[in-house]
Amino acid sequence: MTMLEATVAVRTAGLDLGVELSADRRGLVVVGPNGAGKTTLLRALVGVEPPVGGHIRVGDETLFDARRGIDVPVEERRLGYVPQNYALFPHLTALENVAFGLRGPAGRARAQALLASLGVADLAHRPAPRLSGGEKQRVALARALAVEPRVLLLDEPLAALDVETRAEVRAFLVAELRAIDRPFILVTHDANDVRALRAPILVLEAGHVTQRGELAAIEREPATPFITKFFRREVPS
Amino acid sequence: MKRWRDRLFRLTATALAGTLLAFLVLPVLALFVTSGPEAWWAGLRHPITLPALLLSLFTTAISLALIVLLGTPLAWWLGRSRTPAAGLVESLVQLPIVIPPAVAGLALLLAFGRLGMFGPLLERTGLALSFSTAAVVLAQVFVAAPFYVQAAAAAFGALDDDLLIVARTLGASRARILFRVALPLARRSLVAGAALAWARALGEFGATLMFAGNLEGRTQTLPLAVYTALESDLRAAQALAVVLVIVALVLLVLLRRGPR
Repeated sequence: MTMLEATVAVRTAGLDLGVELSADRRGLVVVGPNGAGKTTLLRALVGVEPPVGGHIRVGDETLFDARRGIDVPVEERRLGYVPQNYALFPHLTALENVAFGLRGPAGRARAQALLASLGVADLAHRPAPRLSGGEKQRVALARALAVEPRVLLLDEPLAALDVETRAEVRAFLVAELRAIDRPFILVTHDANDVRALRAPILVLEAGHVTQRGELAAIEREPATPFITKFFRREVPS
Repeated sequence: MKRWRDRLFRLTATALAGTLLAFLVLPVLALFVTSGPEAWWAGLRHPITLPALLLSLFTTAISLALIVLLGTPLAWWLGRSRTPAAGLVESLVQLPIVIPPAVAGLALLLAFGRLGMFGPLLERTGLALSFSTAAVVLAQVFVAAPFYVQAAAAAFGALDDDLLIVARTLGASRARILFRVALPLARRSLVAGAALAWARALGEFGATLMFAGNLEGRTQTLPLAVYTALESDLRAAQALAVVLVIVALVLLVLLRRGPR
């Protein structure tokens, strides 16, 4: 079974990040306060934030290994990345966004099929800025899936949505991630996302893992005040 | 009392703003109203006009092409690089904006002129530059390039990191990211910067006069022709000036409307 397995050390101006993680088809949910290094972690996996140490493996392929001097370029890693706010290309339509990583008429057909499978075929020719939050998310997901990524990395995929639509989009996303059936890492600020996903959890605080494991165990014995507060907070969505 | 003071303040501000606006517009207006279409037509037919106009269009077109070709990669680096060196280089690029054109002309002469730093080298390779049309282009590129590079660097710098990262995760090459993402998104600023650079190149006078000279048909661009005509015939100079202003106005309108 394909699995993402990584140890990364990243040093940026305000952060000293050191994380060991693995994700399989059940996924991995990463939570943590602002500035804990969640986005930096995803960027390190994607390959745009160069780690100073560690390794990244997907299945039996090594994408990065500091000691062996391996650093597969971003373009060749085949990791699907859905950043916060989705980062759809604003000058392109939904279909053109999805087809961006594909070539030719076959690529366009595949992009159209992906939009259809995510229930937004009728939005194909709409310019990206005119899509709603939930629609944007589906298009961003379709775009990431278009290139057959081995792993999906999603950065707060529900944070940009208003409270009314969030529950609906969350249910859709959870079902979709199950159906896609490949390893994923999802970063979130929202305990409701964690509960809905039922995936293993990794808590990141100030660049380091303060707790990891299944939801029930963490809720039973939260290791830090942040974790206690995170799971106690009831958000109405 | 307070309302009265407010009104006085507003009146003063309006008067100050109006004074500057009038000062900016009146000289240009004077160019047009102190003569008529017949005089302009006569000016257009003046023997130095057509060669100067053609030379101006020819040299500024080449200058603009060079500025965009060489300036875009530099602007990309300035806008996207996070190294401290970028700040220093940005200041260097802005240098031609703050140094006086006459000084720029002298500097070009000392670098590429016959007796300049690279003069002997250029001479040996048969590329004597000073007082040639090529020198006109060099002077224009020198004074105008910063305007394009600055605008382009700002536009590239403002691009959302995530868009470029996503494009890379989708397997896009650097060239594809540049042509399919960065350039289309920065297009408005690039065109505005290019138009500004073109206007600056079209108006270039001091550096051209110092470095390229004032030779009819070879280095005498429109601004130099205005200067030359003024020595003998005020009306001809005025007509040439009107032509120059009209070209500049057309540019300004295109620039304000921008690409759609």
